[in-house]
Amino acid sequence: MSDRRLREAFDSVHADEQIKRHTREFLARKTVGYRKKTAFPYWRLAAAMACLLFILMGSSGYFLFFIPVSSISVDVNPSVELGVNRFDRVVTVDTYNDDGQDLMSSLNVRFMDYRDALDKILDLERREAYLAEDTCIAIAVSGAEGKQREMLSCLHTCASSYGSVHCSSGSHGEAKAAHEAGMTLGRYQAFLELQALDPSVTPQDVKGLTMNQIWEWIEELAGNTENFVQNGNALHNGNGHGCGRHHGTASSDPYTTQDSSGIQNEGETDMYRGESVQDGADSQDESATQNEGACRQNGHHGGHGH
Amino acid sequence: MRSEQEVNRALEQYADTIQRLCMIHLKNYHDTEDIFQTVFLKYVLSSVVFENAEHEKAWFIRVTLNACKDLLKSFFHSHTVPLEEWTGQMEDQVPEHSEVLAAVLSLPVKYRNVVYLHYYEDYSAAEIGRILGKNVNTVYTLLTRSKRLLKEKLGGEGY
Repeated sequence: MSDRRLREAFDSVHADEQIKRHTREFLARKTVGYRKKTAFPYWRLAAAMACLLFILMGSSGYFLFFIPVSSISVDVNPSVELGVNRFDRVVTVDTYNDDGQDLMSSLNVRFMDYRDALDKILDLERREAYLAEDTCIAIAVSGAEGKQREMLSCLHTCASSYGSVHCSSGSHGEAKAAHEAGMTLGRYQAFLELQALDPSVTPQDVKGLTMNQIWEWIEELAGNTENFVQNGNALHNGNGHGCGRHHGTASSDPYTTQDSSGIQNEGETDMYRGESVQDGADSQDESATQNEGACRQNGHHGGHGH
Repeated sequence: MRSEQEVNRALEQYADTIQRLCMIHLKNYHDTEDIFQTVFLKYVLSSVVFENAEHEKAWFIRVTLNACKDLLKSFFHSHTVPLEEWTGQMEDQVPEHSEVLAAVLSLPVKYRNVVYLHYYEDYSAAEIGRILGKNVNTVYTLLTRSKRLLKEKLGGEGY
């Protein structure tokens, strides 16, 4: 038999009693007399909880930081909309026309404070010649009510050194409707106002226009409809571009203007409330200074170095 | 968890098999004791339902070989020198058996398993392939080579 010797040799190997006894003792010890399973692995539970906590913290941190709670639309001709998180940082940047796209392709404002971001955008727009002395900047904010006011005051302060500023605010619903129409909130509000005067106007008609042109159009139509603005001096005042007046719409909340009263007017939100435009540099500076003061008092830095 | 009776029965039934597998892989008594403890603790805690005695035996062989492999590649094991060589324990045995076992132990590690499983446990090449996770043809090759090596070492006599 070829494997006989091998078989006999292996057969002669036996486990001794000592090793069996030790194994029995070890098992009895490990299983506490075969009564229970091995000790519950608490460290595994702790590790799992730590992982869970980490994931929860990570995801809540993500939601806190990366989800915009308010949006700021800036229209000159470039239409740009910034999504701002609860820490006042810009987390999303959307452009609504080609000029906006060109502008933002050379500028990264993500994770910047929204005041700094606005400053950078307007500064670039001035350098790119979108912004002239008499150009009007439309800024619209949507988000929580209290936050809107606070942001508008700071944005107004920041932007007023670049030109005439028209600030307004809107609800989330309005912002959504604006996006569906392919416009920023500021432009959409101007469009609504235009449409109220001339129902035949479509979003397509205003898409290619600058904000100055839209407001000129509004003024032109409003001039024809004599009773449009209750406070008549609003229509034929200021720089002739209609920028300084409040363009109240049914849903928007005209807030502040290019006047020396600045932020102190924020409580007065009458519809169609017209304010005279003071186009002079002095009054702009005055407005800026006052607003900046208010902004800083509110615990926000002004964010612009002009 | 399995009962004490089950464990005692398995210990009596498979202790020798585990001892032989340890002998062909390990060199000292303490390592063998470690393997016994590891294998039977796994058995106690395992919820595997064995279809028959053959299945159970194959499970013990597989778990023992894996435990040996783990022990051999552990850092501690590879950085310590055993106090006693396993071959020292073979002194008690008949000289002829010692000679054969020494010849088996002198084979490269990859041949020892197939020699034991084929010549002692009577497993076919296909069964060995399943237990060791190797191709059947590889097992045939290993068997042929180990046979030739053993023949050289033990000098003819039917090998």
